[in-house]
Amino acid sequence: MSATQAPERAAHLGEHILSICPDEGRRLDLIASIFRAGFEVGCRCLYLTGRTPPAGVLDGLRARRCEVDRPLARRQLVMLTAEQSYIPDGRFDPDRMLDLWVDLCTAARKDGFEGVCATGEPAWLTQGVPGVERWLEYEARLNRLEVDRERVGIVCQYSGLDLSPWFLDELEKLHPLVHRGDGVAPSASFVRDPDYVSEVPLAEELEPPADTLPCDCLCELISADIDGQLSPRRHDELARHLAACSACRSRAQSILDLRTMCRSLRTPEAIPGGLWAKVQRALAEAER
Amino acid sequence: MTRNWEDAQDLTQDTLVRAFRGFESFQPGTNFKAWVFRIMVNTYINLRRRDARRLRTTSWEDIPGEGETGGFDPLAEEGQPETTTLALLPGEDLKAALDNLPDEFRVPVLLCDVEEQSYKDIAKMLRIPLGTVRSRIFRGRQRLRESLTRAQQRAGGRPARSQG
Repeated sequence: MSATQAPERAAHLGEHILSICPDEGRRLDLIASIFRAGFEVGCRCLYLTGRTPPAGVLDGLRARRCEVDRPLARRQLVMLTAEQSYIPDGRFDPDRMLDLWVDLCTAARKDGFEGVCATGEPAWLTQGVPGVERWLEYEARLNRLEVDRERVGIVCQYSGLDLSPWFLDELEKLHPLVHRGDGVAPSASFVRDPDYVSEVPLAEELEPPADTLPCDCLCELISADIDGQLSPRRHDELARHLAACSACRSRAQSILDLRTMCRSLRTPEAIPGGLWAKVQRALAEAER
Repeated sequence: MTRNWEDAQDLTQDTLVRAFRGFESFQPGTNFKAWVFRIMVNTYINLRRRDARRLRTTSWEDIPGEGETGGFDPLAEEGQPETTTLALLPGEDLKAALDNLPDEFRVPVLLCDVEEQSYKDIAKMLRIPLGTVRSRIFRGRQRLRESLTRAQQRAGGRPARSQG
């Protein structure tokens, strides 16, 4: 696919594209192309800022002759910081972020735009934000966002972020298209099977160590630990915290008590009379 | 899962029929119970879809956000209900509290806390990501605890005591 096809394709509504640009110049070229095409088709363009502050991105776009000031004034271009989008309270919650996408799309339509053309770089991914281990899950769920998908185009930029090859491979499985600085091409490893969503792993490598987190970020981990569902490393980190924190120990005990009560509900029920006869009848009918 | 005995019988029957008919799709050596549960969950979803009355609750296909997640602070709850001691409640109260949970929390909690299934198997059964399973079990337990604490306070017996 040639480079000239990239801008139009990247701004196509309905697309979810992974972008890994080799340098900042080409990253800004991409943003300029997306926004120009987005403005042309009457979309609201969103930029979710990352490492480069909003003013720097806007200067870069002006230098590329991409009109930004009038679109900003009529709110056709909206710049959002990580705090205004992904991590409003310093933690990442995919449910909340997916809700925000729905709200952003609804608002754009209400304001008379054709749809939403969004791009940005989640530079905070490598900064140990609580909840970040659910990032791959979020990307997977973005493929089935509860809005008219044909009215949303999203280009996810991972350029220059210090991410492992494993993480980048996982990202490729979750994006139908990949942009590497010139053209947009189908992802070789994109998994189309919708059931794949249940196989998406947690990105533990991005997680801050449990024993460095405040207690209010540990409640969910405590709950998972009681079920024996944490990795050995995570479990050890949490155990160190629990050894030192009586409030969290008491939270753990309380979850355990609740689970014990629930387990007591599991009493064998007598098989209702005639069940097997009914099953056999249904099977015989189905055979016919 | 169905909240009542008659529907439970229907669900069991339909699940068994589907399991017998689809037995070829079971891979020997994998978790048989999880396989049957997956059929049961699918059957349950189908039965519910047929029953327009019950469709008022959330569909399984979407992954709804929680209304309260915006300002959600698990430690800011009044009286810290997640650390209060629940006096031994009759099983009926617990059943009622479970029944009142919305399905997206109730089914993962049932599968984990009552049926002892792993998060990985629950993710497969419900076709949702592992992180969502973990989060829903946690939030479901939290709601369950809040609801039990309220039931206890309503009963006027012993007020909830804090352990912390």
